[in-house]
Amino acid sequence: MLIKLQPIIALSPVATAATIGIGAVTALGAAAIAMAQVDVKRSLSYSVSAYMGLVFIAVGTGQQQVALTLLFPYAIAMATLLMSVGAVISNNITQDLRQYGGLWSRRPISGLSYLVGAASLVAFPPLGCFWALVQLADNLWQSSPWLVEVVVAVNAMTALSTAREFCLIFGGEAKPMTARSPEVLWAMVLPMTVGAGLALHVPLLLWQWGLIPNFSQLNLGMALALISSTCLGWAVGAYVYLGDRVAKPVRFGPQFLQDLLAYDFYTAKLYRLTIVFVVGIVSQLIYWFDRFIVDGAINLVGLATVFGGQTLKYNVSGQTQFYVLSMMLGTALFLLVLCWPLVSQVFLG
Amino acid sequence: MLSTLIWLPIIGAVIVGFAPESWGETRLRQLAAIAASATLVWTLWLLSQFNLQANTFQFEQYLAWAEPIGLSYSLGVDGLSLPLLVLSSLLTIIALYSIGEKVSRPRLYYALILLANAAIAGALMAENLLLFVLFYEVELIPFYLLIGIWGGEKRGYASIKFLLYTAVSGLLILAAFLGMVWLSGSPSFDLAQLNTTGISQRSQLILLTVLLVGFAIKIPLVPLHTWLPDAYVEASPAITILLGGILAKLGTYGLIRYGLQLFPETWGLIAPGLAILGTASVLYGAFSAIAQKDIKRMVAYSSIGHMGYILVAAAAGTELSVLGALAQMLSHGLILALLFHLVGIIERKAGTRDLDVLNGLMNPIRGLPLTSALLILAGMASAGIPGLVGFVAEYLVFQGSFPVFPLATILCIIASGLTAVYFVILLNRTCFGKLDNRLAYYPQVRTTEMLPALVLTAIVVFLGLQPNWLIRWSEPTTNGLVATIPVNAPSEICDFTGLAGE
Repeated sequence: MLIKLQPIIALSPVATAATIGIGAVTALGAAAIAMAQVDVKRSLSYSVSAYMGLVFIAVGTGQQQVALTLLFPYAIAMATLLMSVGAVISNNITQDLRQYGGLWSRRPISGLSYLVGAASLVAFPPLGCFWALVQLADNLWQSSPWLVEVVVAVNAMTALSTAREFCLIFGGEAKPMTARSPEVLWAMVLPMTVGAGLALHVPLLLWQWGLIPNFSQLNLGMALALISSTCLGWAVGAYVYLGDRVAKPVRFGPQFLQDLLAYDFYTAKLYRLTIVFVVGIVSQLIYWFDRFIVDGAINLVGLATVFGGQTLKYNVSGQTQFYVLSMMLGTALFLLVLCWPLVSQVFLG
Repeated sequence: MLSTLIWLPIIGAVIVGFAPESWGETRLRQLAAIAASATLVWTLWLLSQFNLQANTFQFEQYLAWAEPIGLSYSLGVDGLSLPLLVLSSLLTIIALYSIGEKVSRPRLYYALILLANAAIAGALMAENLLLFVLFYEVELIPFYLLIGIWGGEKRGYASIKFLLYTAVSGLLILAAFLGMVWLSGSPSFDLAQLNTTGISQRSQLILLTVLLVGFAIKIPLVPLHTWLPDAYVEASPAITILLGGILAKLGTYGLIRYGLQLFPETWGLIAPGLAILGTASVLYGAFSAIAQKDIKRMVAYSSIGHMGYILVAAAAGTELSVLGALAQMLSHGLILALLFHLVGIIERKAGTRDLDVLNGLMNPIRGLPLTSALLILAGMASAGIPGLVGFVAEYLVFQGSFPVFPLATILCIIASGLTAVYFVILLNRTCFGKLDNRLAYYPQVRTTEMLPALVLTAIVVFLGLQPNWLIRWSEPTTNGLVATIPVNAPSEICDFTGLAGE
């Protein structure tokens, strides 16, 4: 939809800037958040958001073809990753990365599939996403170089977070939750391995469709930058999360920054404090207004009528003096009203 | 021909009402259903015979009744009333079968439902203003009794409130009609002979305002709505289906038929005010629904909100929006009936309507899985998810009203987001979560109880996928109506010619 809308977005500089801005912030923020999640599926879904941010950047800079080329290998890589992680979760119940470890020997098929998926998600030749990312970065280099840095950073952070997940799940010692963990039923293994196989064949498909650039046209410097960022991400991930060289939980930077990322920029809390809060308050106020003012006024009229009738009932006392008194009072009041101009002249001057 | 739609239910009501005491409840219900089904078949036949090109009244019938006072028995249907007649006959059958348990005093009950159907059909077909008022008032009696006898705990309060409000509504409408005929110097109350162009604009404005207040009670619009939550909540589900599905539509139908159609020039003057009132109703209903703890009351408030869309669309007065107003009447009738039927089943089986008590009804073994699934679908339809009938109607309303009242339309779109909010609250609390083991001994939902819901669901889905069937009978009529309004707004959905080259 977004890609189809590109011609409309391109008409307005504001829309273009907004698309690029949203894309860059989403890509960087989501990639950073993905590194800080303890829930493996949350982590992967933030990597999804990061790539959607890259697609926004591609659309904002008028590269529909690159956006589509990126989406295809990304989709297969992400499907393989989620299938492999899903297969692991299905037998180990927990989604908490801190409770995993040592599954490589127990779940080799899932582990291999995960590796294939992780490698084809980032810039790692000759697998799928590399070609799209190189083209994206190459095109951006001419128009807005700072976006190249965004792409490289997102690539590095995604590599780091996938490496982190892999090391925490499959590396290290087995934990209580992972001590007994056989491979899952064939019905899950089959789509997982098919996904991995497909991911390995994506370059062939891209080549068939003429989407892989000629080697002579390839920007080698850009390719090298992307590959080295991938390797850097993996190396850091492996160094930190494989074994006990760094104490867990890992501390980096100030605590508030780590919390900011771990709690997804406090987005949920922000919503609760703003939109949800306002809607809740307004609805309570209107409900109160409806119940006590609108409905209350109506019920008051009803009650007043009933009360008036009940009170008037006591006028019928059966005593002649009472009727005479009320008649006298009524007549006096009537006369007073009729003669008010006269009375006011006489008494008030 | 059209008289059949009035007299068939009345004959049915007489037979059911004076049936021998030995006849069981099932037999009485079947008898009532036969009368209602025959009426439905008759309306469907009319649907097939209806001339789709004409925008005038068809199948007209005229009998002079009381000429000196200008009352005649003149009936006719056009694209505005015919779909509502079909809805009314359909929902009557649904209501007959949505009772679910044994009814006390079944002869009176079924007879009253049929009488209500006859009176509503009469009001929809009336081509004489006095005849309309007559049927409009007659229909109050069966509804008053149906709420007052078979209602919930506070049924006395609710039924009296309903009666007082709607009787005032009838009086105001009668006053406006009398004023219209006297001031225009028309010889009778026949719609065809009435011409309001001779009335001065000031008088037109006064008449239209009185008429508006009268119908606003029936629709109902905020702040005249307070009879609605009580009546809907206290009435049994079957009666609520009739109240919300058909009766409330008389208000919007009357507003378009006797307001928009008879005062096309003055309509433009009050339209901005109407749009504000409609938007206020939409927002008010949605916000109030969010704060409710009782699921039936929540659906009742949602109804106030959804009726507001109709008013905004009618006020905008473009071809699309008036068509959208009619589509919204039909879609709201269907969806509301489905919602109330399902909420009724939940109340019967779980014994409560409290959001804080209900939980986990989606549980496939011990919950009410099919009921909850259909409730989710109905909630989605009400919130305007594409593929269901609610989307079609809301889209027409928004698209048609936006060129005239952009701000009101945007607020309505926001309110349709709020619809999603309260339905998510409702579904999240009732259908999802963990079933309370101490409470979860629910009786089985029988197929006969589920059948009305399945029929309604099928229609909601079908009309969502084939929206043309929702509007094909009405389009010439609504276009004809709009053509009489002096200022016309663009009717095309969107001009895509500029993008054709892409």
